[in-house]
Amino acid sequence: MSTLIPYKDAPRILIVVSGGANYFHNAIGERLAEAFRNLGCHVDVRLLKTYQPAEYDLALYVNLYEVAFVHAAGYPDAARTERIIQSGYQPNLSEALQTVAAIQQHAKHSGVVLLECVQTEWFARNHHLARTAGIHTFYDLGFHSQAHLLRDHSITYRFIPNTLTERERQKALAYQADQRERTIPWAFIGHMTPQRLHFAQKLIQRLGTRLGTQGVFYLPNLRPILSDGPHFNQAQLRRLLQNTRYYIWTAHHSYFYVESERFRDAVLAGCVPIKVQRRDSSIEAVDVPFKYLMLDESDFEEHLQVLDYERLRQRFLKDYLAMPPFETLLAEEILKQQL
Amino acid sequence: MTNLRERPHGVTIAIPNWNHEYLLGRSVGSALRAASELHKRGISSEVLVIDDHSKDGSLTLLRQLEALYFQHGLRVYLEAHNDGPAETRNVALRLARYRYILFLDADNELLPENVHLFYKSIRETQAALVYGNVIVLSAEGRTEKLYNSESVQDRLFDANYIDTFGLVDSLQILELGGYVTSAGLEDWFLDMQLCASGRLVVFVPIAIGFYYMLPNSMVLENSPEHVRMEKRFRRIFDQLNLRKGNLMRTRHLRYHPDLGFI
Repeated sequence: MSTLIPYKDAPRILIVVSGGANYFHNAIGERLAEAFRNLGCHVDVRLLKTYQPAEYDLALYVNLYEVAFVHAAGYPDAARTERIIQSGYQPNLSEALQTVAAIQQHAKHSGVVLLECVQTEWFARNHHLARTAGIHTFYDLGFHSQAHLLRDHSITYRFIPNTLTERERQKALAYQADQRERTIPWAFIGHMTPQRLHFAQKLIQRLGTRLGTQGVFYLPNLRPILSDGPHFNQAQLRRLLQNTRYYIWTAHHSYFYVESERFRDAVLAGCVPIKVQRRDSSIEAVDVPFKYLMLDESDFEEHLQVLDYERLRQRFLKDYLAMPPFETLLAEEILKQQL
Repeated sequence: MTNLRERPHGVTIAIPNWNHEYLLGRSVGSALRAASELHKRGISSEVLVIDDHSKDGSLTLLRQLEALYFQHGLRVYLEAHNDGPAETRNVALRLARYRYILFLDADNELLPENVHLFYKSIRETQAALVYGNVIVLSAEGRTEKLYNSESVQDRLFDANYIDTFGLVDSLQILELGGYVTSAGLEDWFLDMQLCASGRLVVFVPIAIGFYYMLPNSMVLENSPEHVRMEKRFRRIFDQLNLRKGNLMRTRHLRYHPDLGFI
C-alpha cells in the first residue's frame, strides 16, 4: 500500500488494551493494530494478563488507567464491573504496574494512547498513572492539538489526527452515491447527564415539527461500556447510524473538545454528525476540521432548522476523505519519530 | 365484554384518573392526537378514561369531553368506588376495545407521532410490554429526570426503574392475572412478574412522552410502606438471591422497528 514505509526489520509493536471497562477503547486498539500492520509492522494486541515477555520496539497502552484498573479488578464481567464502579472501590493497581514495568524492560519506546479532552478527570488519571509507571509520551488521537492546555510540560505530547484507515476510506466512499431513505431523523446518544436530558427535551419539543420527534434518544446511566452492557456497542451504533440522518451529541463536560470518534462513526455510517457545543463552553478559535458541523447551544435550533442534509452529507464526506490516511499519519508521527 | 382472544389489533389509550381535573385536558388532548395519528396510519384506536371515583371536577369535565370527542374515539368509564390504581388498570384491561393498551396517567402527556413505533414494536416482538423514554418535567416545564431509559437488567429486582407509561399486550397481562391489587407498587410487581415468567419486556429507544411532577406525588420511595413492599417483593421473586445468576430471556432487549433488535 502507498503508505508503507520500508524498514530493514519490521518494527515490533505491542498494543495493550484493557479488555473491559470501555468497549470502544479496545476497538481503538484493534484499529491501531490494523493500521500498523498495513504499514508492515508486526503487531501484538494483548491484555496485561495475556502479555507474553517479548522484545518490542514500541509498547502502546490504550487508556493506561483502564488497562490497569481492569487488570487489578480481575477482569470482571459486565455485572461485576458495574458493581465495582458503583461501590466506589479502588483496586490496588500495584500488580498491574509491575506488569507494565516488565513490559517497559522489553520495549525500546512506550506511550499512552488517549482520545480524551486533557482537561477532564479521565486524562488526569492516565497522566498520574503514566508518571508512576515512568511513561512520558502521550499520543492524542483527535482533531485538534491540545498541547497548549497541558499543565505538565515534562511529558512528550504528540497529536495524531484521527483520520480513516485505507479500509475505512473505502467504506466511507461507498456512501457517496447512497440515496437510501433514512427513516430515523436523528440520534442523540451518550450517558445520562442533566444537561443532555435538557437538550433532548429541546430537540423533541422545539424541533419536533422540523426534525421529527421520532429520533432515537438513548441516555443510559454511566456504566462500563461493554459489548453486552446497557450502552450501544460499536456494531449496534453503526447499524443505528446507517438508518439515521443526523447524529447529534453534546459533551458531558464544559470544555471545548471535538470528539473525533463520533465523527468517524458518522462518516462510516454515511450520516451527518452535529456537535452541539454547550452554552457554558464556546467553540474555540482553534483550527479544527468540520467547524460547519459544530453548533452553539444558544442558537442551534435556528441552525438545525435550515440544514441542507444532502449538501452537508456530501461536504462532510469529501472533507473527511481529503485528510491523509491514518496509516500515513501514524508513520509520520510515531514510526519516524520513535523508531 | 368481547372474548379477550377475539380482541382486534389496535391501540386503546387508557387514562386512569383520580382527582386530576386540571391535568386531564393535556393528557386527553395528547391521547386524542395520538389516536388521530394512528388512524392516519391505518391503526385502529380509542381513548378510554377510567375515573377512579374522583371528588374534584373531573366527572363533569370528562362527560363534557366525551360529548365533544365521542366521535373521535373518546370513552369514559366512571367507577362506583375508589378502588386504587391497580384495580383501575384492571378495569382498563377488561374494557379495552383493542388488544394493545397504552397506559397514560392523567399527569402524563403522550408524543402523538411516536405511538405507532411502539405499536409496531410490540406487534413485531410479541412482547408483553414495550416502553420508551419518559422525560420528567417539573410543573414549570423544567427537565428533572429521565424514566424508562434503559433495557431490562438484573437490577430491576432491586428497585423499579420502569414506570407504567408504556404499551402492554392485554392478553399476556391478563394471562398472568392482571395487576395485583394487594401488592401496591403494581407496575413494579408486574414488571418483575413478566420477567420472571419469561415474557418479553422491550425497551424502544425513542421518547414516548412526558411526566409532570406535581406536589404530593405518590412516588415516595423512602416511605415505610415502600420499604415493606420491597421486602415482600424480594420474598416473592428472589428469596434465595439466585435471580441474578439466572439470565432472564428479556435481559437487555432493545428494539426499533427500523432496526430490529439492537
